Amino acid sequence: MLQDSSSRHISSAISAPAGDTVLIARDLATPAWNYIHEIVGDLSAAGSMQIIAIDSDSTETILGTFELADGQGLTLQDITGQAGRPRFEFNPDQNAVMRTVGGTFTGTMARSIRN
Amino acid sequence: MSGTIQDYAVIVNNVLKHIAPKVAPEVKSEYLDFMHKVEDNQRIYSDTGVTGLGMAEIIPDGGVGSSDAPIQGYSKNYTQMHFTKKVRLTFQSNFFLFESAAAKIKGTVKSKVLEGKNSIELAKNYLAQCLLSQGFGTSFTWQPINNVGTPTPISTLGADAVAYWSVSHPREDGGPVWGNVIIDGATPSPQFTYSALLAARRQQSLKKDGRGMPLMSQLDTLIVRAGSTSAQFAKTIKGTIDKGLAPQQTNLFNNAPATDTFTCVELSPFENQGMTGLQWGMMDSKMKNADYGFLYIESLATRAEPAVVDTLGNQDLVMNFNSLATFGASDLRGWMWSAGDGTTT
Repeated sequence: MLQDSSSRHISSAISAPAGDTVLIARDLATPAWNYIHEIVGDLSAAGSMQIIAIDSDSTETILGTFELADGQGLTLQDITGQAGRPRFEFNPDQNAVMRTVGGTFTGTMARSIRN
Repeated sequence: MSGTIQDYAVIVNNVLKHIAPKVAPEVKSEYLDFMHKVEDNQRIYSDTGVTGLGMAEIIPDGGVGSSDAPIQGYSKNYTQMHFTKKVRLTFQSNFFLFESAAAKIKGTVKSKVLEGKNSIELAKNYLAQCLLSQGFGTSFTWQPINNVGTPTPISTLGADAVAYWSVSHPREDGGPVWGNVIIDGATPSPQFTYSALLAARRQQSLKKDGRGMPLMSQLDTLIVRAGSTSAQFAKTIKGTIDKGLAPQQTNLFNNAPATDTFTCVELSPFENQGMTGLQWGMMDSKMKNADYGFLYIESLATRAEPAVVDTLGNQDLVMNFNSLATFGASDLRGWMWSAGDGTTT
């Protein structure tokens, strides 16, 4: 049974060099929540990776910080038992941003839209 | 606009054809699903609140108890608004479309394309829905969809002079402010989920009367936009609850018993200033009455005026439909609302 519902999941590649990379940009013309259900990938050199929600007024909410060794793989998925609820949730005013330090995060994500 | 014969050049030419009306199905007065109807023949309707008594006290033997009395609450005036629809057809248009022995538009189709009562009900449905969707502000300018007619300023203040949806409604006895904006965890105005449903009910359970006594109100009616993800998901949750099951949650047992069910009111997707697919709210149907909640105050039900010919002018046929009514709310203690955007309070 569902805890939440959304559009079908869409996969896309991630290539996030050191600095901020917008994974999903806000679209205030057609407001929708953006859900990230899965992130899989690794960092090209030892460093850190953060998932951050950034509002249109630049307020940052850090949703996760991960310290990774060179080439260390990372898999983030929805929490078991919370069917339909995303691992990371962004309201219609937020950009979904990946911030990396030390290397490039390369991988994939599965996302969906709730509107 | 007025319909001249050139406007119907295809319909009135000498070819037989099927005339297909392109109109929405019969219009239901959906504002009555969440508004209490007051029939009042005055131009201005007023209501004023009054509280009951506070809690009693314990005194020592020989002591003197303190005095108490009801407190006058907040007042609001509602002024009637004139809803109208005028239809104007030129002499030739009326004759060749409807009156001639070879009239192109038959009675059944005529009744559909000239149904001014539907026009007025649509205006009322849309305005009533806009009060919900625009209720985080203190006013808005209402414009009929398709820009026929003039913009009208509409207030969205309750009797307490605070916007309908607010986290800081004052209380009659000066006690703590109360709110009717849904907050799930730390997220204001959440999208509709099972946890947001539980959050709304928890907040509603904490509401107090004008003297700080428990209101004992429970949200049992959900308002959503028809066909939205929220509306469809609400039916999934309601269906699960109605089977006696709770939607799965990590901190509940599998197949755990459900919380209370609810009824789902789906409002027409007008869009524009109406509800977005993300907006949702709940109300206590027992508080849909003259004392609480939204009011629909009617002086003149929709009336079709006699069709007249403009005999002094160009002999157009003119039909008018009129209604005198107004909408608003004084006390929305029985409601909880969410903009569904995760930020609005």
